[in-house]
Amino acid sequence: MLKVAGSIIIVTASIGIAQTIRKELAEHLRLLYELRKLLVDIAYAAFESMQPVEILLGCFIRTRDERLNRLCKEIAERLIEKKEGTGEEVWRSVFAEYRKGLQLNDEEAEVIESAGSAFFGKSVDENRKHLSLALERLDFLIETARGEQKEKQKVYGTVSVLCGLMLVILLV
Amino acid sequence: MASKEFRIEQSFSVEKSSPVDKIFQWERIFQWERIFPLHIRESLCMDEYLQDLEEIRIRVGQPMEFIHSTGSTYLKDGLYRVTVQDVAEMVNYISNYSLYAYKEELKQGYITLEGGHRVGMAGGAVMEGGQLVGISPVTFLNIRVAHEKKGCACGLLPYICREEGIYNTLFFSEPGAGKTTLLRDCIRLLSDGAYDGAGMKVCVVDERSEIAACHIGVPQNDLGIRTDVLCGCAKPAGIQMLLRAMSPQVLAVDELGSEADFVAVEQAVYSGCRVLGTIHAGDIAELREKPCLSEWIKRGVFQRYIGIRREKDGTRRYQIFDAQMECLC
Repeated sequence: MLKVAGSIIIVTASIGIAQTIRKELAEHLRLLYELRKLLVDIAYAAFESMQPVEILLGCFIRTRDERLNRLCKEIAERLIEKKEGTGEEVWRSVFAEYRKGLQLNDEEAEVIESAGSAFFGKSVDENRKHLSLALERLDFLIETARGEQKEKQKVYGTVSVLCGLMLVILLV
Repeated sequence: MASKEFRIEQSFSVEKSSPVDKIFQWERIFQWERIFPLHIRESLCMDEYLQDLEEIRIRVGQPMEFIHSTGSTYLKDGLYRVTVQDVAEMVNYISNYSLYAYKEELKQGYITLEGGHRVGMAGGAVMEGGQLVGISPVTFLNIRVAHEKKGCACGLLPYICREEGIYNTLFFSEPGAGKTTLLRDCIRLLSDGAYDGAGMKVCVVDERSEIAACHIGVPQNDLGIRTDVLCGCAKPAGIQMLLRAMSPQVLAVDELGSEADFVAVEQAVYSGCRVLGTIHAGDIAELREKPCLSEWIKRGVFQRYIGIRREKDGTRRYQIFDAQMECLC
């Protein structure tokens, strides 16, 4: 009886682990989409309203991800403080600080950190060119992440359930 | 049945507000030293630089000059020379890291800061099709510190106001004598009803943002409680729009110059609206010579002309003329 109960717990736990991993991968993909939307929103608001980035990030731009909202406010505050020489430096340093919390890998972090050049240029045209480049790179990362997500979900799901079953067999 | 009394209690929590929370607060005090590079900011705390400050001149390769009402001082006694990097960094700060947002202002050669301070820029002109579209690189800056002289127009109100409203009035002087300052105070006083207690609806077309010194659409100067401002718009189009949309009793415009300005003002005058304006002219004789004005003078479109002269000691003297150019005082 005890073995049966133990087996059920182990199988349930392994399914749980597989679900958690799946959820994390989906969350990560959602974050990348949210970051993409953030870039587009800032650019659109900047081109439409012609307001400085500190106003846009401080007052108007909101995302569904609370971490990104905090990050935007932090950038706005740092821009208002005017302690770094360029806006890109501010953008890069704040994203570098939030990188761990956002769980971005090296490649993703590099793309996002360099995307600041799309908002602090001398003209709208310059910003547009940088933005299209940043979006292109981000789209490629999203595609890669989607491909990986499908593969990883299968692998992690299978491995964790098999491990659970192995333990059950060992126990029995 | 006894009525129940409901007591509404409000609780106020005192929180430390972040810089972002203050973006749209009118009271936000602009820390103008923030437009300077970090290594210069500390030096700027000295009273020697800030006392009676009127302008700060920044020129690449030259010492930073602080112009006071009594003379000039130089940063670190003139030992420090401004570098190209310093100016580039300042331009970043002045434009809030967003030069694209100030494209139109840059075409005019200036950016207005919070608090109404104005930064004039010069350097390499960028031309497109014979038109100036920007300045790059910026190598010269002139920061004009805003001074609101509240109450400077009090003595003029009896000459401007009449039983029903005001006379159409034109302020004239040479550049830098204080036309805009005087116009601004007139607007404030009329809007607040300082003369007879009945305030008037005043609309301002602030093409170069010199009257209200709008920053993100919010006037940085006090223009009174009944004043509406349209900033960054050409005067003819702005006057038309305000006449249609805001039903002004008084319309104020700065620096009338082009023929289109005069046509628009005339339309406003004949639409039942009173006009306050300014124009560049050294004296009344110069004013008479202005081609667009001579016709107006004949027809008595404006009933008051107020000349401003700056004396050597910085005080202002005013001369008031009526519609026939007769000196009233």
